[in-house]
Parts: sequence; C-alpha cells; structure tokens
Amino acid sequence: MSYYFTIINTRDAPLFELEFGTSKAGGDGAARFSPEARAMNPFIVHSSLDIVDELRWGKDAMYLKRIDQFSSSHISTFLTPTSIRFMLLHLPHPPNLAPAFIPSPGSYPPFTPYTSNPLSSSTSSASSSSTFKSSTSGAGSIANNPASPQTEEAIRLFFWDVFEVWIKATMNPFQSMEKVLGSPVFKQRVLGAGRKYL
Amino acid sequence: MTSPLSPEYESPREPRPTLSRQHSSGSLPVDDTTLSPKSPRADAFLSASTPDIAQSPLTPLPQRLKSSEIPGKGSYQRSSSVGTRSSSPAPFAGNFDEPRQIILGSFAPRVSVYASVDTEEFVQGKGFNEGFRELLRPYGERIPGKVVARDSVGASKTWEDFGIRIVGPDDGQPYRTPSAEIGRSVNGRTSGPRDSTSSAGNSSSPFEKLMDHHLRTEEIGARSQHNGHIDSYSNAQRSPRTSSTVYPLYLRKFLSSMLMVPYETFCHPVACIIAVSSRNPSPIETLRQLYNQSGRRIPAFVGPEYLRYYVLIHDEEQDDITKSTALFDLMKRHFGLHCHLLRLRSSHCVQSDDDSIEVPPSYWLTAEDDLSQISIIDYDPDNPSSHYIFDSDASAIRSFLREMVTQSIVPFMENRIMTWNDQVASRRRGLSGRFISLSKRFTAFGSSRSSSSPSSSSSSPSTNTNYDPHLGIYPSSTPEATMRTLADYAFMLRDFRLAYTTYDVLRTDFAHDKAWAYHASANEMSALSYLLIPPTSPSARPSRPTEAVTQMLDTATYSYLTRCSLPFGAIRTLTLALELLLHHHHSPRNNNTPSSTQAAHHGAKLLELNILTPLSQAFLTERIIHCYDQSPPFSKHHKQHKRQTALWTLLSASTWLRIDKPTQARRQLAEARRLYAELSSTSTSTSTSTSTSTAQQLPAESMFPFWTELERKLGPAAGPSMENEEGGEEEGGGQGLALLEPGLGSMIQTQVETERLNEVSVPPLSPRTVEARGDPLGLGAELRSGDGRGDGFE
Repeated sequence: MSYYFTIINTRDAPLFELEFGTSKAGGDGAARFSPEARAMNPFIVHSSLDIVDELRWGKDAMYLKRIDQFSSSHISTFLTPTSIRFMLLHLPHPPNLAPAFIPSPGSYPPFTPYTSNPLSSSTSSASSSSTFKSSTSGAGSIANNPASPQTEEAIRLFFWDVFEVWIKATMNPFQSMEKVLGSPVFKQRVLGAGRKYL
Repeated sequence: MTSPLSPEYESPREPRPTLSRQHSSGSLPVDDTTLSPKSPRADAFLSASTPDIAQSPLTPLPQRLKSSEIPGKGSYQRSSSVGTRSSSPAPFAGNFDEPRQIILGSFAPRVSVYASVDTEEFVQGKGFNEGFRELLRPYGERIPGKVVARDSVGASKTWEDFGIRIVGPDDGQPYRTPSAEIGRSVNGRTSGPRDSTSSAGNSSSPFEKLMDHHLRTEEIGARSQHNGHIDSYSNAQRSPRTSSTVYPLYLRKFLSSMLMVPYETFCHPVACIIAVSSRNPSPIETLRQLYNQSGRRIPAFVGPEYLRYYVLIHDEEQDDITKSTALFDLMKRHFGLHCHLLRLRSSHCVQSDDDSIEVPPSYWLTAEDDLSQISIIDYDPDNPSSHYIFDSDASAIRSFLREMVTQSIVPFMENRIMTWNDQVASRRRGLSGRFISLSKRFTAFGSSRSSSSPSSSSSSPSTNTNYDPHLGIYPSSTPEATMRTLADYAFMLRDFRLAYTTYDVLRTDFAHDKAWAYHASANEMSALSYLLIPPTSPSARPSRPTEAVTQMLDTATYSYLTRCSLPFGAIRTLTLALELLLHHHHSPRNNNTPSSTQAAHHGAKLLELNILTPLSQAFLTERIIHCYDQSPPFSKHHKQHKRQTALWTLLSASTWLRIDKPTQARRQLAEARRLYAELSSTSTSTSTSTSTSTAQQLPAESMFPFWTELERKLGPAAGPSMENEEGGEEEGGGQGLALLEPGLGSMIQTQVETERLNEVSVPPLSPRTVEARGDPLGLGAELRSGDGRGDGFE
C-alpha cells in the first residue's frame, strides 16, 4: 500500500504533502507510486474535495472515512473543526508489486496510471461457480483491502495522531493556519504516525 | 396498395401467406390468433394513416405523397455527417443527435430484403449497385409521419421517430468481421477473428479509421470557420463545454455494429421483404423460391417465425400496368394481405433531371460500409457523391415503407407480443410458473449434489432445462427464447414497462441455467428498459431503487466480460447506461447522488476495465466531463463537482494527446485551464503568487509537473520551423471558439498568449518537481516505441 497524505486549507491550497509507504507486513515505508501516478495524485485529491463538500454538512464525525475512489486509488478524509482537510490517498497495489501488466501485441495502454483491481465478483448475483473464486483470492489480504474495517480503523488512528501533532504545530505563534507547514519535526511526527498505524 | 384499408383487410382470415404452412408446422402455436378486425387497433391504424395514402396506388403518386413527405423531410435531414460532402446544409432538427434518440433508433426492427435477380438488375439500372436494399435503406431509417403502437395495457402511443433497419439477408451475421473492435481482447480469451482485428493495430480497424476521418473533418470545420466559411457542420449545437461534435456519430456507429447473436434478438429479422419485378417471367415461382431462401439463410438460432412481405416492383416506363395489376391480384390471392405494388421508373436519374431529388444519406451504415463510401468520394471528387432518384420514386418508396410498417410490421409485432404474453410469459409469471421454477431449482440442486463428476452434472441439467450448454443457446422454440423475443419486441415497440418485467423474470431463469451470455444480456436490457420507462406516470414505474439498476449493470458487465469474454457487450452496457442516466432527471435520489454522477461513475468504471481503445477512451472521457457538468448546482453560486469537471477535462486533454489529436487536446487543455483558473479565483484569492502565469493558478504546486509536461507536448515540442504552423493552428482553434462563445473565446485567446509566454519562461520548479518531471505522462516511451501512433510528435 502506498500513501499520499496532504493537508488542504480552506482555499484548496495544500499546506503539507507527504508520500510514504506501508510499514506493516514487511513494508519498507517507501511509497511506490509510478511517476505517472505521482504526477496525478494532487489532481485526484483535489477533485475529491468535491465529495468532501457534499459530505461535510451531513456528517457529525470529523473522520469521513473512505469518500472517493479513482481507479484503484482510494481517498479518506478527516475534517478539522476549522475546515482544514486531511486527505489520504491510498493505493493498494503499487505498480511494481502488483502482477505486472504485460502488454500483449495490439493491446492498449491503460487509461489511468494506477493499476486496476481485477473485476470483483462480489457484484455478481450468482458467483457460485468455482472457477471464479480463484480470481478474487488475489485481493484477499486484509492489509491490502482499502474497504475493510481494519484499514478504516487504522486510518482513523493515523488521522487522530496527525491531528494532535497538527494542533501543536499550528499553536506555534509563528505559524499561520493558512500557510505551508515546513516544519521538519512535523514531518517526522507524521511519518512516525504512518509507521505506527499504516 | 389498395388492400389493407379496403374491406379485404377486415377479413378474419389469418394474413399469413399460404406458402408458410410448411414452415409453421413445428413452431409455437401462435399462428391461429389473428388481427381481429374488430379490435380497436385496426381503427387506430386507419386513422393514423392519412387519407391520401388510402387511395388506390394506381393513381399517380407524386400528388399523393406531398403531404406525408413534408413532416419527414425537415426532421430527417441533418447537417451533413460526412464533412467532405458538398450537400447543402439542412436545417438541424432538434433532437436527432440526442443520445437518447440514437439509442432508441439503434434498437429498431430489422427487416431483411430478399430480392430476385431481375429486381436487383432493375435497381442497379437506377444506379444503386448494392441493389434493392440500398434503395430502401435511407428511407426506412425514418418513417415519415406518426407511427402508433399499442402497449400491453392497451394504451396507444405515437412515435414520430419510428424507423426500421433495412438489411441484407446476411448482414450482421457473426461470420462477417466482428465489429467489436473497439473492445480489446480481454486476457487474450477471444475468438480468432476478433483477435486478428485487434492485433492488426488499432489504427487499421474500420471503426477507428472512420472516427479518425471525422475528427479530421471536425478540425477542418473549425479551421474553415476561422476563414469565414461558417458551414453547418460546425454550426451544429455544441454543448457549452465544447465537447466533440463527432460523439453522436461515434455512438451511432458503435451501436450499428451490433451482430446477430443468439442471446438477443435485436438483430434478428422481424420481417423480410420478398421482392420481384414485373420483368420476371415467372413471378409466383420466384417468390416461392425466395420464400424458401428466407427460411434457410438465417442461422439456426433465429426463429423462422417472422413476417414475410411481398413486393412487386412495376416498371413504369417499359411494362404494362394492367399486366402488373393482374399479377398483383394474383399475388394477393396467393400470399394474403402483406403485399405491395411498388411503381418505379426504370431509368437512371441524374442531378440535372427535372424532378430529381437527392437520396438522403443513411445514418446506420456499419463503419465498414461508411468508410468504403467515404473513400470512394475521396478518391474521385467528380464522382457524384450521392445518388439521385425521381421525386415520384422517392414518394412511392416512402409510402410503401410507411404502409408496410404501420399496417404490417407493427401490428405483427403487437400481435406476437400479445400472444406470447398470454401464452408463455403470464404462465411463467403466475403462481404456477413460480412453482415450476421452484421445482426446477430443487431438482437441479438435488442432481448437482448427487452427481459429483462434472460429466454427469453437465448432462443431467439437459433433462430439466432447455438450455443447451454445448452450443450455448436456447433453441428458438423454447419458452425462454420466446420470452426473450417477446421482451425484445416490446423494447423495439418502446413498451419499456413490459420489457422490463419480462427481462426481470428472465434474469433469474438464465442465472439458474448458467446461460451467462443470456444472463448478461437480460441484465443489461432490464437495466436499460428500467431507465427508459417514461417518468410521466410515477405510479407505473416499478418501485425499485436505483441501486438495483446499478447492480444489474454490474452483473451484466461482469458476465459479459469475465464469463463470456464479450467486451462489446460490456462496453455497450456501460455506455448506454451512462447516456440514459445522464438524461434521467427523474430518478429518485439515492443517497443524494444525482443520476448524472452515477452516470459518471459508470463511465469511470468502463475506463478502468481497460477494454477500450484509446480513441474510445477519449470519447468516453468527454462524456464524463459532460456528466459532471450536468450535475445540479450545489447552491446558487456554487456548482457541484466543478473540481471533478476540471480533473476530467485535463484527463481528456491527455487522452486526446495520446492518440495524436492535438487540436482536440488543445481545446480541452484550454478548457481545463479556464476551469482551474476559475476554481482558484474563487477559492485561492489570497494566493501569494504574484505571477500571472496560468500554471501558477493551479491550486497546488505539485500539480505543475503534469501540467507543464502536457503543455510541452502540445506546444513547443515541434521544432522552430514548425512553430509558425503550430501557432497558426492554435489561433484557428481559438477563433473557432470565439465564434461560438464570444466571451469564452477571448478568454482563451488571452490564455493562448499566456501559454506562449510560458513556453518562453518556464515557471520555476521545485527540485522535487524537476525530478518527477522526467516523463509524468509516460508519453515519451510510447512515442519512441514507434507503434505508429505517436508520429508527428517528435
């Protein structure tokens, strides 16, 4: 799982951006976005702000959970009381870990730089046939499943940790709420939270 | 023809031709129900047809049809779909290009033509090389005047835009080149011919070639507009967001490539025209032979129970009308009521003739045929690009087709629907039907549990199901196949409620029999017919949430793609769902998700399936933009999904660029720039950046690499010698937009200039961005790989 975490102010400008990878299950904590995906990430997160705008008035909780999906990358959001948005983009199959896309002659490049999951058979009403069960087992591992409650809970803990650090950072009298957060300590703390939970 | 409205029509005799007895023996017991003369339906048709048509056909035709010709003409003609044609710009008829109209039009009844040799010679003498069906085809696509169809509850509905598709006897049969070429083979599990089309390279398939041609034409159109020639082509109603004008054509060509397949009957003939000319020495014998052909030349899975319509073509110039009339009377006696005497002149009409009129272009040609026509035009510009026929001939054909549709085909289909609904469907739907299916399920369950080996389990279902798992079909006489035909007929007559309920029953049956292709198709059509149920009567709408529709679509897509490797079906399912949801404003709101957003989600899903060619991806991306653009405003000043629109516009620019279409890519990039500038002007007004560069107006600094890469690919990538040309073209695009939307155009114009400034002074980038800048789009590799798509960009 690769993560792209960003804090976005009320005027849609990012205050803080960070990429990291999973540290669970033997991960080395390095993000494995392809260059194309890396260039796309800010656009994807920006477009999900639309969904945040939709949801923010309907929910009490600060943690909005998984709100959006673009191809195989998912976006979770945490909303602070001052309408600062923590956005976490998580991509379950980093391109170099997923089964490689082997371009057969005459095939077309995929539309998005993100690898897409195999079509899930959970949508089909009668998936009793045994031949299709094997195809779904690849995405079975819970740590890699962005929709699972475990992932949701881990991201919630991560967000609360970051929120705490963020409050401390913005209480600095020399730091404005609407200005880019350049503090290396803050970055270290966020990375630590990521290592701890994600 | 005198007949249908004369007293003969009221004879209670079954209007089937006597010849058909030999064929009807082994089929369903539906033949004995007739069109009751006392049924109100007959009256409806009497009143629907204009009194002048009811006159004798033996009176001169031109005067008769003037009236019925007028309503069709204005709305039928369209701004020339082929830009190189020099036909005069016709009045653009409102909704002809609406996706919904295209979808309805694509599911029109197919009528195949069996013409005798002498008939084909006769028509070829008039300049139609493909014969009789080429002469009829353009007129059949749009039946002039109103067509009345009754639905299952007896309410009659009037359709202004009804049409039939005139096809040759072998058109659309699967052994022709499968035109699913816009669908890529999935996991290599496709049949041989489809593989060969896709491996031959995506630029070589007729579909892609045709679209390429039209996209170029669009560019030329935009440029000629710049030069002051505002031709009707570019003047067509463009959406305010400047989406491609080629899209309606794309949709139409995509849908016209449907094939004759066992699991749906839309391409099976509903009727056939058996034609003989007055030159024939033994007409009755020829008709008999052609009739036998019409039963033999279809694949085995097509039910032979379709309507036969007999036509005698009388040569006005050489043959004696009294002889023809006598022959026609004989025909009527032999074959019943479904006969027509068509009076045509035999000489070849040229443009300079007195009462010559142009044959309208036909819009539902397959991509291959369309392409061959275009290449003929391009090859020889002096060649008359369109056919001309005499006005009298045109009106004769129109009245013939109208009469055939309103008095034979539609009543035939209604009759079939009613009969099947009574005899098959209602029995299945009723209480006993449930019991039957339940007991079937139980026995199947028991047998599959008791038999462990796959061989015995594959043989045992054949005892309690009609499905043939080896051939993968239901024979045409089984109740399942009949119900499928019933539902399709209802769909074609636009009785979507009946169609929906029937498909809904079939879905579960097919899933139980593991007839996956049937299952996928039934799911698809039940979702589509649900979305097509008119919202005027809220009580009539089945109370199913839209989640059910989404699930049906998902099931259909999964079955098509994973179980059957039919990418064409999956693409059609999601494309049509997108179009219908987009214009489905009455859908009950589901978790506050407007239907247009759902439409966009289906489109994104289709893109992710990775089965589309880059060209189709580009078109679909534009549709998704349109979807997000259509979402209802959040509040008075705040548009919902504006950021999504901006994202997809940018993606669209990069998709167009990927298939080497810089004009379209530039247009979308300019649009994206405008959208992002608007977004940042409303939200990031306090941005500290003082630079006026448009790239600086992006919300985030980390967005720069993608953007600048895109601009680099589009703009100054060409060498200095190319720069002038490139610049000029760019300006042309800007001007074209200016004509459409003055305010926006000037805005883009200034932005084009700022873009030039950007070319000179690249905005300062952070070290991270520079590092990531290598090739964010992955385009360079593609261009260098030399697969032919990226020429001209180096």
